[in-house]
Amino acid sequence: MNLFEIIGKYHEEFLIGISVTLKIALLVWVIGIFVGGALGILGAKYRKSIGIPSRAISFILSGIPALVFLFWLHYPAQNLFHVVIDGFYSTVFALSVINTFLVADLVRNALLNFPEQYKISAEVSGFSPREIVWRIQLPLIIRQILPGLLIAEIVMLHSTLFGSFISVDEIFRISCRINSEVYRPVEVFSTLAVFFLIISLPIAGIAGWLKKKYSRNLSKV
Amino acid sequence: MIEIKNINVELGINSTKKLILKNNSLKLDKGTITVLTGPSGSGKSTLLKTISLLIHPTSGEVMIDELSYSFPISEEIKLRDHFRINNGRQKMGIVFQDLHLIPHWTNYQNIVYPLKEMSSEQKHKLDFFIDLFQMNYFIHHYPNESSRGEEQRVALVRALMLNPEYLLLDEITSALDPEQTVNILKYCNSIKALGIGILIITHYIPFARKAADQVLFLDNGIIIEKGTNEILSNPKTERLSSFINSLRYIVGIED
Repeated sequence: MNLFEIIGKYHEEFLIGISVTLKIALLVWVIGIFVGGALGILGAKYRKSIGIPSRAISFILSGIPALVFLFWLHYPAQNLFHVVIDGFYSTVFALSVINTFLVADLVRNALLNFPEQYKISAEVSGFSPREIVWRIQLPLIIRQILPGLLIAEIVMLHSTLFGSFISVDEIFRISCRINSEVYRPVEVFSTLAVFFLIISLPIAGIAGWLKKKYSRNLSKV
Repeated sequence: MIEIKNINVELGINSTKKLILKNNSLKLDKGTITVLTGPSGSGKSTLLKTISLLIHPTSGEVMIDELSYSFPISEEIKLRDHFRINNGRQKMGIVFQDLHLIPHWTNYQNIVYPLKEMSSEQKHKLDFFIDLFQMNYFIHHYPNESSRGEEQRVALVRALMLNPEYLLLDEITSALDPEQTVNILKYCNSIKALGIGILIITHYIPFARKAADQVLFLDNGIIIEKGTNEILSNPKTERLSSFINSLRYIVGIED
């Protein structure tokens, strides 16, 4: 059985796997960016009540491997609270929590380290507070956080594979199942790699475009 | 007229608190040039930021034409006075020592974006400045692609385009060649004639001698000598005399 025969025979399974992977990734990205962004802004504004606790949780999370956190949420936590939650939601929840605190850290640090002199300069040039945020702070902050944010989101996409360990039918688990039937690891896992490239390359392209648009090198030449 | 009375400025928090300006008073009239000089760390930039209400004094009074601000301001009044402070600040064009050009805008955008919409009169004015300060070859560069002297000219034109009633310039000639310094001197004299009050912070005594109607010498947070530019030739205090002598030793100033 060659590569095309495998894809032809198992295309529905592959599509299901891709769709589950994409669903998890999209949910994790959206939740992480919006909730993490808001948490970061609040953390910068209310340093003691929100900033410090958020930083502490982020610190603790950074010391726990994502897979251990996912397993803990899916097995011991559900056992402790006597609930049964589908692996898909456990994966989305675990990765969203990690992503939220990663994004919050990036946003909070960018806000706290924002050079005050640009705000003063804009203020004395007659810009309103709203204009200062939209035309000066936001582009500079995006420039600062964009590289880190994109790396974090690509890591999140790759981390969706951990869902396979708690029986989520995402693309990696589907590929393993197909491989166990046809026993053609080179073809199956090459197909998996190609699928990831197809998903990742457009994101990398958008990332590159955004980076070019917003992160012009501002250091002195 | 801008007037400050008995201004004290304390900066820092808790154990690092330090009294930077001590009981200073001064007047800046429209249509005059005031030069503020003094050793590094004497509080010159802090005084400029206090006059422009970017730093709120610990105590004292700042008057900008008909607007008067007494300090300390309570938190409650601070909020209410936010708009009044903006009104006072909008009368001033400020060029900071560090210039603070917005890094993701070109030099041209740094000048025109604060104008919102540019009238044909402003367009002519900008063209005039671009010619006067020889900015044609770098006007569309980004600040990081420009030299310090080029950035200084951009920051100056940005302030001038806002039609200020007062112009506060912090070390505006520090990176300029003699020709550009002469251009700025000439231009300061011509805008002075239009009734704009100018405060210039500089260590460049020959510039101060040529430009100043009033000279203030600040040392250790206190204005210890003030007068016409004559005080730069015949200082009354030992401290100003030694300051000028040390500059004379380094750069050689004509008597």
